[in-house]
Amino acid sequence: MGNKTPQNHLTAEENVCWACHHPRGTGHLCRYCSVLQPLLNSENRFSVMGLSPRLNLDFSSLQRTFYELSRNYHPDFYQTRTSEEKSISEAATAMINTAYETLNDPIRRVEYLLTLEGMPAERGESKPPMDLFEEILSMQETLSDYREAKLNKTANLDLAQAAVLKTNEDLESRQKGLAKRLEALSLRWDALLDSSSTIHKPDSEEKKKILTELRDTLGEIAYLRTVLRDIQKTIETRS
Amino acid sequence: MGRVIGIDLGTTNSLAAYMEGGQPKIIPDLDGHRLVPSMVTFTPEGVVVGEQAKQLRAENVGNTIYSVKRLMGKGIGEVKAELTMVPFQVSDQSNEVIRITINGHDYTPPELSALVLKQLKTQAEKFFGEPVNQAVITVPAYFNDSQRQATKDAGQIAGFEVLRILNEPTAAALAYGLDKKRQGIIAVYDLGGGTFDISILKLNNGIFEVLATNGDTRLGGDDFDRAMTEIILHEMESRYGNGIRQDPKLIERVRIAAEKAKIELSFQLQTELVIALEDGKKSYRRTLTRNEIEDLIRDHVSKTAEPCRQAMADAKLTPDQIDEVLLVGGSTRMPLVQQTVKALFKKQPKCELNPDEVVALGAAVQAHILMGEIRDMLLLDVTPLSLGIETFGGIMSKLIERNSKVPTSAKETFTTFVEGQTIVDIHVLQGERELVNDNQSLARFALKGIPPMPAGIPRIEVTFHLDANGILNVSAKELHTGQEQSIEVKPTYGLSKTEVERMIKDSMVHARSDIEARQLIETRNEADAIIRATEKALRDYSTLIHEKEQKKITTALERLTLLLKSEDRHQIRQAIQEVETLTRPFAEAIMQKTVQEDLKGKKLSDVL
Repeated sequence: MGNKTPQNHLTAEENVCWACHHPRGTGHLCRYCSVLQPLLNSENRFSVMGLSPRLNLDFSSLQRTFYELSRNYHPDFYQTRTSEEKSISEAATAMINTAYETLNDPIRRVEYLLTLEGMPAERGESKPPMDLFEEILSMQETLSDYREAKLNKTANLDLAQAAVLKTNEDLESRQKGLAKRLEALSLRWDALLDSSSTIHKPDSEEKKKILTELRDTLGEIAYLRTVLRDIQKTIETRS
Repeated sequence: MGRVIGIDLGTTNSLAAYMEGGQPKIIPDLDGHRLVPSMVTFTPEGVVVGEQAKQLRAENVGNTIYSVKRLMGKGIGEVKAELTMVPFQVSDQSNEVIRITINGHDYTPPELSALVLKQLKTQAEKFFGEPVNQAVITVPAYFNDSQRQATKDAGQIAGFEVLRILNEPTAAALAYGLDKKRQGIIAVYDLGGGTFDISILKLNNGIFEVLATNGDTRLGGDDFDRAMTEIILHEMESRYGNGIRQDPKLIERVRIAAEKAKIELSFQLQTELVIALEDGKKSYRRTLTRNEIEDLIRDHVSKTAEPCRQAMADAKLTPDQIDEVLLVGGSTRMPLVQQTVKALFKKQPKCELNPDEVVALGAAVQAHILMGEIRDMLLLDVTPLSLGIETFGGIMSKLIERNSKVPTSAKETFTTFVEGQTIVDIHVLQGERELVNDNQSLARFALKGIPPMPAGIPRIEVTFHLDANGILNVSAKELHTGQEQSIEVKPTYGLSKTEVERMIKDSMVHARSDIEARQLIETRNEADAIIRATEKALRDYSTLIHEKEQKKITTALERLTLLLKSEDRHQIRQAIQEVETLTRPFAEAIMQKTVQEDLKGKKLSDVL
């Protein structure tokens, strides 16, 4: 319910075929002259895939839409057509590909929603989870002990390594917790969308609150990811 | 519209395929050869390509070019080490593009590759008896933009309209999944003569979706040959002294022997290596075992592991989620390679299609899709490398991530730093590293004709579009005026548009003289055949002809024999006609006699 945006509201301009100026219909080819038409519903990456900006998606239905759209617009099928159709096909497919890739990745999906809602999580901005402050400090110590032990080949190398692995495990379970939180927030967001309609605007307080929490959670995930990568690197450079 | 073919332009061998009755088939040459060695040799008589060039390679060392693919789209600095190991000379004039000097002329890698492509084109035209002008040409999936562009240039120089630059492992997947019954996740492990690719695909009802790709464009059979050559030369030095390395012909013979031994050791456990020394009397002999060469190449083969792991990680898959592993490329015939693949993916790899041919076959399938002949198959491919631009402090800022599906676009807005500035430079890069210098420089774009405004006011939106070939197109628009900006492109390691156009023209001029040369050779061959046939007839059937006539024919034959060395095709043709006219009554007499013998003791009705 409410997952699909209506596809039959074309603006006057969209309604007419660029080539023959007859009403084009809602398909990818003009109903009248069968020439390829620009992508409909291209306002945003959700609408491209025929979706409203919900965060819980059914992967197999997303993939089905992606394959269908690809079969309609992919440049491979327009090689022998006019140069106009070729460029429409290139542009439409680029849009379809980006939309699919964005929505297919749970993190990128949230990131994109935040941009759409005017609250972009800045690129590369990672926020240290403050409640992790002490753990991070001790992790730094563990890591530097380990590096030193490795460098000097001291006897407590095994011990240091065990400590690093333990920290790694802790942070990974922490990361899993954050993913759960993101899931819960996503459900809240979708519930908010479902409860609203054209008459009932979504509660703007609640909306802002969810978006802010989503953004903070993304920041923490990004932060932890960087830390985990650092640990991985340290473990991998064995000698 | 003519025929469309699929071409696998390989490091070691190249081949072409076409579709017949819904199945891809290899186009053989007149002698039935399916593979054309990617070799070109320059002789005083002209350019020789393919099998003949391979025969001449030891003799004509220095003028014989091979493994050009590893130089495509590369700058001289990148392949310095590579070039010390090949027996041809690189011009001092090499800057953005490598130039190889042969007999005082410089040739770029696309021009040399074009000679191989043209050979395939001629072969296909002979096969079909009609012109072939359009082709799908394959490249390693891990080729960057410059390497793809160089391959496209080569196709154009050879006289093709290049319909698509297609990734080799995906081409292989197309050939493999042609029957559409195949479903699920497959990995294509492609180790050829010069390059390595790994691609992971999802096959779903005729859709071939590439999930991730990775590779190494400088890893392949060539490296194995080199490692072996090095060891053999080392042993020869200790036996026969340091002079060994001063003899390029000998080094070339060693290389050929090493390659041969490597191939044999895929099927047997040991082989005998025999290399003739310069004096012609002595030979270097040695037994080589499979274990020995496996020890030599193990490090090279291990280098394929990391790209495989990275591709699986990018596709978010573990080995047990991959249903099948497909082997492509001649080097996958080696047992060590197969064991490595098995260990990496935890399953027995498949090699049911000929690993030398499967890429060309897939290219033919893709050509058919592009011509609209197949509607139920679709390949969705990705770009192998991240694309970005240089920002402050020599950092690369990524605009398109690796393994993004193509075509894809990214937009970035630029502005000016100085009042009245009318030009903005953009440096485009490809690669995964942080720093500009660690990545591959693709091109510098100059945005020109920006309306003079205070600093920071112009807003130029630049669109970076990677097309279905994985080739970059850049366009720009000034947002205030909505005006399209002109862009001047300077490829870092590539030919400019005008250079390519000149080369296409040159090759057409040469094409004419090439045709001349071929016709001369064909006429000579014809004359030769006539001389031999007539001489034989004169011996066998001398009773059927008067002595006077016989003398006339003999004189004409002598004249034709003398003319065999002539450069004038028409003169030879005339002499041929003279012989034919003189021998016609003789030929008729012979034919009568043959029929009479056949008819002896038979009624005419028995024969009819």
